[in-house]
Amino acid sequence: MNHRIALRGHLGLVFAWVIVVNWGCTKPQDAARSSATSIERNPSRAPVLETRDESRLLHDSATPEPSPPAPSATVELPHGPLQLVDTTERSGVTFRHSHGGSGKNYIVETVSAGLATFDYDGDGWMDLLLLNGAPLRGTSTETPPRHALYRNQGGGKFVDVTERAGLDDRGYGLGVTVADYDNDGDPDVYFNHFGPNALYANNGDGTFSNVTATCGIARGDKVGAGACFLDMDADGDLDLFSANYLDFTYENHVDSIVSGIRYAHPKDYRPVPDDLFRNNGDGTWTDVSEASGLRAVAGMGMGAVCFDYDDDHDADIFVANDVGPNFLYQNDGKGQFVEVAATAGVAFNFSGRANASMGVECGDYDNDGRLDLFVTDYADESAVLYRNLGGGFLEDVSSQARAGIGSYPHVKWGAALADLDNDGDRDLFVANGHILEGMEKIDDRTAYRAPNTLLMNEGNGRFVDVTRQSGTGLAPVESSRGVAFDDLDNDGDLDGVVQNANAPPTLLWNESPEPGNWITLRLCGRTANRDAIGARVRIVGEGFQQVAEVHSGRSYQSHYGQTLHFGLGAHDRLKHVEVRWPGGETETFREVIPNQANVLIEETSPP
Amino acid sequence: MGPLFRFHGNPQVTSPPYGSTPSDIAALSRWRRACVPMLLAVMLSTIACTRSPQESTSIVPSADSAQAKHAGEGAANAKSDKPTPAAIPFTLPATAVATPPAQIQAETEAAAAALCKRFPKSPAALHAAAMLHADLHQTAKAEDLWRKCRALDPDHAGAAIGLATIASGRGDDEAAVQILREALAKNRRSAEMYYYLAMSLAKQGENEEAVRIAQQGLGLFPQSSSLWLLLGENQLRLGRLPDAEESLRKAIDLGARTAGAYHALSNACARQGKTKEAETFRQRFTELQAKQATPAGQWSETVYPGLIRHVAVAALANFGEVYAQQQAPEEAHAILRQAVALDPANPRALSLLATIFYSQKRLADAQTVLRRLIDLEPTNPFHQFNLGNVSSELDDLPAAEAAYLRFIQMNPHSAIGYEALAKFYWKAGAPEQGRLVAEEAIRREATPEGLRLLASICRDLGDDAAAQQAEATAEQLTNASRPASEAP
Repeated sequence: MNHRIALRGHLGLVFAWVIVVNWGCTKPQDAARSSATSIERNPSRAPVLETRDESRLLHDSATPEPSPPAPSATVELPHGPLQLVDTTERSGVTFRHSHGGSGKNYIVETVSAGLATFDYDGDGWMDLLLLNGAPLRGTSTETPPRHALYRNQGGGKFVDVTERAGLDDRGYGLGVTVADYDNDGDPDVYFNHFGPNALYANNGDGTFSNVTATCGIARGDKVGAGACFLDMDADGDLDLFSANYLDFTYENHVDSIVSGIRYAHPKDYRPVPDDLFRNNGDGTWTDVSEASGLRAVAGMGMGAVCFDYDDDHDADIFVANDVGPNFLYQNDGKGQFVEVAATAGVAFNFSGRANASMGVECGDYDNDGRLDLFVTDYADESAVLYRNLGGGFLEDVSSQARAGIGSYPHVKWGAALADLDNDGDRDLFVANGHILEGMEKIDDRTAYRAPNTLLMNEGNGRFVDVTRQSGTGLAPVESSRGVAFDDLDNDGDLDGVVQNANAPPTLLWNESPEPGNWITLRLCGRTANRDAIGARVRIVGEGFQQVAEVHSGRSYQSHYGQTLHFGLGAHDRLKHVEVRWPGGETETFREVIPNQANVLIEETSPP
Repeated sequence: MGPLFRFHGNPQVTSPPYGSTPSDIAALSRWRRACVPMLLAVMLSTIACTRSPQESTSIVPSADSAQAKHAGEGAANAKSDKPTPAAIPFTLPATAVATPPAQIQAETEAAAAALCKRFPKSPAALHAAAMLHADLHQTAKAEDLWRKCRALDPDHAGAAIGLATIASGRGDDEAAVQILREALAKNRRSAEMYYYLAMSLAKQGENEEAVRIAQQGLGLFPQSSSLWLLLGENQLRLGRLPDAEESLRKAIDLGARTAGAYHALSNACARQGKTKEAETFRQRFTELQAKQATPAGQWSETVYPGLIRHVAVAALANFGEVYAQQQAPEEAHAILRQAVALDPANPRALSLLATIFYSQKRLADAQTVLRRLIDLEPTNPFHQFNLGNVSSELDDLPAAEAAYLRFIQMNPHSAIGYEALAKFYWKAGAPEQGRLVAEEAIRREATPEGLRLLASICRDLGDDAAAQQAEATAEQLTNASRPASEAP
């Protein structure tokens, strides 16, 4: 932590969005043909809006001029170094999540839903996709809820483009992930539902086509969970991991009463194996769940993330399991997996207990060059921070790092390791909220609606709880689920969105008073998959380095952060940036300039 | 406090009793069992039987109502201080009464309220009720009761630990640490106090201080397996691997044979490169995990009802103990019967019930309960010892002799079994055998009591010289143990 570093002043922080020739939807071959340099930026540091490729957007004719987002909440909190301002009311986001319940308290009602931030239309602004529930048996509604895609218009304003974009899916939303699975230069969307899942291919013109029926990934009535795109066999196209929760159906619903309320417990059901689909490269997929080794075990999957935990240059899969040991599927580099969580040290917590894990976040919290895991879990359990020791081993350091403080009595869901003050280390946001209305009758230490938690990284491997000093964005008390953090206003710091069960989401605008320098990197693969999912990036400056990996799908059933963000603190120069592309080739990019967005294209670094 | 409503661990253990540490449960249980003889004596001398039996709640099978009446008769008979054969022998239930969990919870909460109403000025009663509410995650009620408890007894250790545990469970470990430090400053030292303080410090990331506190506690309570475990875990967190390994091995040796202990020990060994040992401990961990695993698909049907029943039985046993301490044996008896109806194999409830029967001079019933306890815990020597005592008073000589001999077989190096058997032989008209056994007791440990017993037997046998020698030695031992100021 270094909040007293001399900066150029927040308002004077110059932003320059990188201009790449249509990089947002440029096909790899086009990028290769282009004369663009490997690191492209806007030397004029033009205002953000001027960089938007207006021709490709589905504009709302009433698009207002951007204006600084204003806080909507009235709660005054003492100011700390991290300031997240609740801008929901002024954002234009009118979405309200519905779990679709009729009072039966089906277990699926308790776990919905995730969200995604991504730039669906390639205009340089992160858009917002919020998953919704659907009417469950016994619920009738004239207008069934649907997922909602909000286009970011800049200035903190969003407009609902769901129907125009063709993304008005009405499945029961749980997990979502986003990536360019067909390498055509635009992000595609996969929904992991209760019921048939759905894959939407981006048409490149701001619309999507539902390709589920023809591609071979819809699967019965499973209760889905987190999902991730990954290139499991390093063949240059993205495969799909889809976690499953449990074997709930309407027919086997267990109507349990605890302390006068209908209670849903996962142990009334049986675990279900996760699914893995190999991309055939022609728009179709092959179910390789059995052949890949994933079916050797079954758990109650919740959040998932794919990352190279053992540094052997392939994508492994971590699954946070409810009421059971977590899974870590170790990849042999060819798409064959063995479950090794216990050996690696991530199946249980420090005390050897299998928590009821919910979400998982991946990032290097202590800047030692290795990717760590943060796993959220149930009430009365401490969230677990697994520090990566190298050599394929991780250990629970929650106690030493104080990573479990502030959220212990609550059920914890989404989480983000995000450097919110750009000081060079990753802070920790945790979304809280219990599973059902009336839970306080069962445990009076918490409630269905609970405050979220913000922990600031002190830079010494420890966190401090700054929830109460961090602005109006921490004031809403809802039953939160998924979270996503990306730079929504292109000002160089990370903003957030929290999905709240049966309630509107919360938008968190980052107004931290003394943000440090920063850099964002968007990777573009040519031999590797187009989104460079799985690429490992190391930024190196004078006396410091940081690493990050490009992920598709993370936290609690959510997706965000595909554009890598690094806070740099007082450092305004980098020596170089190393990119280890999926498949193993490492490329070094020099003269990468902070405080602007950059795109790094594979095989284009100067020799 | 464990996750009552989402069970993730051992179905047999939902939460530690307040005033004890989680992995000391076994040790605590052993302690309680060890104290049964003492309790028998203490309660016999303190319990006055003046109240009519409490009405049984519906947890108690209706067929037992006659026995509830009988309890009153037994109590009345106890006034004469003569063993009275039960008019209607007590029959232990073979199976647990089938009561829905909601009803069990409601009735146990009602029992807690009744206890507090009956003894509103008793810290023990308020503490027992608070423990139930804490176990049910009704922490506001528990906190209120523990605060009242502390108002009555500012030094009440259980209340301090309870309040600290509530604070910790709410995520406020700073408050927990403050409460426990204040309690320790008042000299309310116990292994549990040190344990919870070290644990709260560890939850705050103060691992060095947690180690220091655990070591401080172990200086006073070196046999506390939980403190050794906590010490080892925090040494492991700090990377002091050989120290951690040593502490964890000690914890396991002292009885903390939990999955968590083996998990930590396996990690400590693995990180030192002791792969073979690490693998051995990992296997043990896996075995214990598998034993604890709850079956999928049965939470509502079996796990949750089991948890509620477990909490209720623990609470009812606590309430029974309080009633007994408050000289209300009929209520104690009735509520312990409720506990046993819910769990006929609960050793603590049965032990307490045996104590109550003994105090009421319902020796045959006490014998019945002790035999059940021996069936349940055949390796617990103190059940044999108690059975020997009760059988002796019942003049059931074969049973008494057999029980004492089994106790001695289990504890061949302890003098108390030999002393008891010697006394038994002497009173049974076999002084020669009594003398031999009394001499065996003295060979193991020469106590004034043992020597006086030997002297009495020798005098009966006409060996006055041996009697005088034994009395003289007893006198010497007594004088040696007196403080200098009391020396004659």
